[in-house]
Amino acid sequence: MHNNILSFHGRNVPAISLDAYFARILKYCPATNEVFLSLLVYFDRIAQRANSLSPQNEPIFILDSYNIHRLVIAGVTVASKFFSDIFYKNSRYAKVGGLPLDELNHLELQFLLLNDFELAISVQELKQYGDLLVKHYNSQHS
Amino acid sequence: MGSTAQFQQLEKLGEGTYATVYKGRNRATGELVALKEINLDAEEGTPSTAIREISLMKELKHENIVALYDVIHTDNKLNLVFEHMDRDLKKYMDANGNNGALDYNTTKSFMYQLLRGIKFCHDNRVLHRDLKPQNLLIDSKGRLKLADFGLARAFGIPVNTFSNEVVTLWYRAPDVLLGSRTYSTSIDMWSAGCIMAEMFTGKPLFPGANNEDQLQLIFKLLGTPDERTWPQVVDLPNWHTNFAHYQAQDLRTVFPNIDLVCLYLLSMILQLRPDQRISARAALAHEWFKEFNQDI
Repeated sequence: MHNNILSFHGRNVPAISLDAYFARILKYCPATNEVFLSLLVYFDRIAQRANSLSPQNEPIFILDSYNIHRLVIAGVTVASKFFSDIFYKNSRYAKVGGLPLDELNHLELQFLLLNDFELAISVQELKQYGDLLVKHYNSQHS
Repeated sequence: MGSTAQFQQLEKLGEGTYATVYKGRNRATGELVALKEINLDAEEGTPSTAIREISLMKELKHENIVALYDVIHTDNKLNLVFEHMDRDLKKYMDANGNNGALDYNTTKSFMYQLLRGIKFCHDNRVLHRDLKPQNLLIDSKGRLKLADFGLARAFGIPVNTFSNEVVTLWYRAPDVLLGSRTYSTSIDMWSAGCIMAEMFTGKPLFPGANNEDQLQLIFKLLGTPDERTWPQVVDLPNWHTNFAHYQAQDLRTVFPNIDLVCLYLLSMILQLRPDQRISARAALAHEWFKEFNQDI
């Protein structure tokens, strides 16, 4: 599990901001809201599963500037294929995400393994995360 | 997650576009399994069919749905370990039927089990979207289970990302043939109706050669719809006004050997309008199945 997580850790922090990265993905690999929202659910699930296995209860899955971009592009690739009948080839997700195709292929599989291939999300669960996101947005912009 | 070394690979059972299926034997227990070997493609990565099949089948544990035991990941392959079944319904009909036609009680039992599997999928917000005899598996005890969830998807959140390129042509619902992308559970029920008729006769009910031909065969049996019988039909993308106008045939003359109770159920499944097609739940409670429903 630790190695699965380490695959996402880059040597450098990518120059592109997360906002700009999402805007780029949305422009060149458009997906529905549920695809983007599902990332929050998957990140939480990975954290829970990984951290519950940690020997000293030290968190071993921490989102940071070194891994977030890779987690996002791998998550969008997986979630698009799961939720939608319309999705792109991995070569396109790799190009838009700014990483080599074989690395994206590897990260896609790691993302699936970290989620134990359990990608289904109930409508209620998705709605909870959606409500939280809206609440967060409103608190930032009021 | 196990290792492929746990299994002895036996003969090839089938080959699809993205996977090869082998019979396998668990070396420790002797239990037979089906091993579905999926190649991870360089351009496509992990096939969407595999992503869906695994994540949906992990949720769907039911006696009328083939069990997924394990997923084993090796270098450039995923191996799905499924429970082993003897054969698919198509092969079962060829081997055990009278020119493919199954006897009345077997048809009824298979239909009941098919509907139970479908109901469980729909209760868990999953559309199968590729029901056909080749995707229904039969074991030596006469149990029927749904398999091949590669085209399946979860539903619930209304979004416009549904494809109408789903379901093998002969089992594809008229609303989908007419280009609807807002279909739901009724799409699987149409396939179930086609399979029911096929079990009785041994022949596919609507063996169309292409989209147009498929619609024509359906309209010849059930009548060409119009704005009066199906108000929304004229808004569907593939609808045109020059469809030949057919009168609905009387199912009693098409299926002279089938009793009225059964034909009544069949006619409620084979409704052109998706909103009038009976649900799996309601079909299971139908009088035709009364001997299975004593305990409810």
